[in-house]
Amino acid sequence: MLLFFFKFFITNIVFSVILCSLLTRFNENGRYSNSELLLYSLGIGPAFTTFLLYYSFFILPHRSNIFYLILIAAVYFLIAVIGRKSFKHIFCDVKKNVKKVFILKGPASRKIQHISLIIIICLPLAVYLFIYLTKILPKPLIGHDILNYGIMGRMLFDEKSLAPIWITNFANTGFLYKSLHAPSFSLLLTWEALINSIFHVSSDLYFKSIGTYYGLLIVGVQFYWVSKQSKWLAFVAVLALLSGVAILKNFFSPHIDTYRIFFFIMSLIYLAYAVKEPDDLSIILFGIFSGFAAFAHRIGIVTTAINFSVFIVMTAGNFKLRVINAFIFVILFLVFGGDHYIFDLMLGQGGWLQAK
Amino acid sequence: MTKRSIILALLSVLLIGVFSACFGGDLYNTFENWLCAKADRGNYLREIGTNKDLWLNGYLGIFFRLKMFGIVNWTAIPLFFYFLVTIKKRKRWEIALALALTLSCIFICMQGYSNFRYQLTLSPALITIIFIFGCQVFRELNRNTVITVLSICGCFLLICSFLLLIKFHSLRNDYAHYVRGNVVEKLLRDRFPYNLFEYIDKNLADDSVILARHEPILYYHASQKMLTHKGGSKYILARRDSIPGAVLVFEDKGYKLYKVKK
Repeated sequence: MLLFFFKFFITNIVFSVILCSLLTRFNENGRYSNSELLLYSLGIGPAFTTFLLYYSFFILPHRSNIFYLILIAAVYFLIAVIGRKSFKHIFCDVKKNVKKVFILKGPASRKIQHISLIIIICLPLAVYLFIYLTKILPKPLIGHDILNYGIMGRMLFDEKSLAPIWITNFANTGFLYKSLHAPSFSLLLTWEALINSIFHVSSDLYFKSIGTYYGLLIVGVQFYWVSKQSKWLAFVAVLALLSGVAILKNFFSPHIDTYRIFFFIMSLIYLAYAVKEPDDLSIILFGIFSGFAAFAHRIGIVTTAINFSVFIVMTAGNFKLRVINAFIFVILFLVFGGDHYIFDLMLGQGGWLQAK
Repeated sequence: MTKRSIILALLSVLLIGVFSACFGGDLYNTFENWLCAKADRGNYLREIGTNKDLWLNGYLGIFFRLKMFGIVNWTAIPLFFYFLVTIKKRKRWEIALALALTLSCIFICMQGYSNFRYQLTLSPALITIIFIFGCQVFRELNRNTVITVLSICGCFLLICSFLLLIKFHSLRNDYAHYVRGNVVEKLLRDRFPYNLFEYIDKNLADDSVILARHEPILYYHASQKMLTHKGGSKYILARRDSIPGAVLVFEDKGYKLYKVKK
């Protein structure tokens, strides 16, 4: 379990904060608060790590485990150096917001309301996390889709190249793979296996926790937006979301759903931001999140095509500016995951084009 | 009101009455038959077996499949019509968001109707927008309109509750999920076939090859036993399928191990 917390902390927290520090460099006009960027960045850390692994396996295949670990650590170190001045601002902003939540000001009735809300949110969350970490997470991985993603993750770890994706029928194992989706989710298990290899252990706890982690992030993003109207209403909105069994399932059994849905939601948010005022950071994040949405699941290609068309039609400004923005978006979308589907057409079987 | 319009109104009422009496019943029966008729889809597609289910749980599942997507998604439909009526008041980014979500909704609902997981893609965004836009709508409407809307909703809920009470007998199995806490129990239950793994370890030779039919569980968890999609293996692991010409040798938590007859 300790190793799980280590992997979780490094990948989901440290890497995400490092990426957030880079993003805040682009947030020159202060359009987004650091807390908002940090909330969104918490979802980028794992996806960006798989993105690095993907290109490492593509360009520099068949190296040792330690080579890939050092390579990825070096990339993050470089990003941290670039964004080093922003760390202070991020931590100050987080500190300020934590104080705002827990140190109460105002009349007594408001304080009681505030405390009740904190208890109503934190108590079930704490109980759930306790049950999750002690009862649900240690269970062996089960379920058709997640096991297939897991198998691909293992094969990528064994091969240290993207060959298992391009080659459809492995003569040695007989495992038949239909390349429907990009391997972002599978690569999370590969990443975990790379870290495991240093400690000589075998574990998939981190891979299993991803669905829940992104589920909580989705709830966090929903709460953040609805709480702009009212915090109590935001609480009701969360309850409304969790009243459906479909999303609730993702909090109890691991699956890719919340992982891909998070990026879909983020691409929608940044579509709205980009149409409202197409500044650099909104275009960049619109492209990155759309790329990651496609990198997680092939539905992401369709939703990105829709979002892109809407962006082109609805953005204000002159034609030249629209073309430049569209060009930046397309490049970022391709770099951050969309290009996998082109590679798959050229090198693999192009399975993503087939109807299921 | 002129004499002519009164005569026209009376004639319309008469026509509607005659139409309802003559054709209404037939129309209702035809519609009901169509609703309950089996949809032309494979049996494995869950809860979309009839035309009614195909539309309510399938194509429009994101709005009306309450058990899967929660109880508020249907409110997106009236809110969407309100948005269309008041579109001139809306900002550019609001229209862009509505357009993107509507197009995604149409695509995912039409293509991914058979599996609720595809429609789940839309659910969190839809619920968030329902709450944010719902607040905005209440602020835009004047007090009398809000009271009228709430009264209509209240009446609607009362009628629904009444109808649900009448139908409670047939619906009780659905609600039992919530009432008895079966959902959580179902989600927490252990589904891993430990006994199957133990059986394979004890009874099958190390070089045995098991053909897995859409079941990757052995491949992921067992490091020694291999599986293949090719023929030639003596054993077959399956869940949904029954294997003709093979003998069931072991079953655990729905996983069935067959031995192929020589």
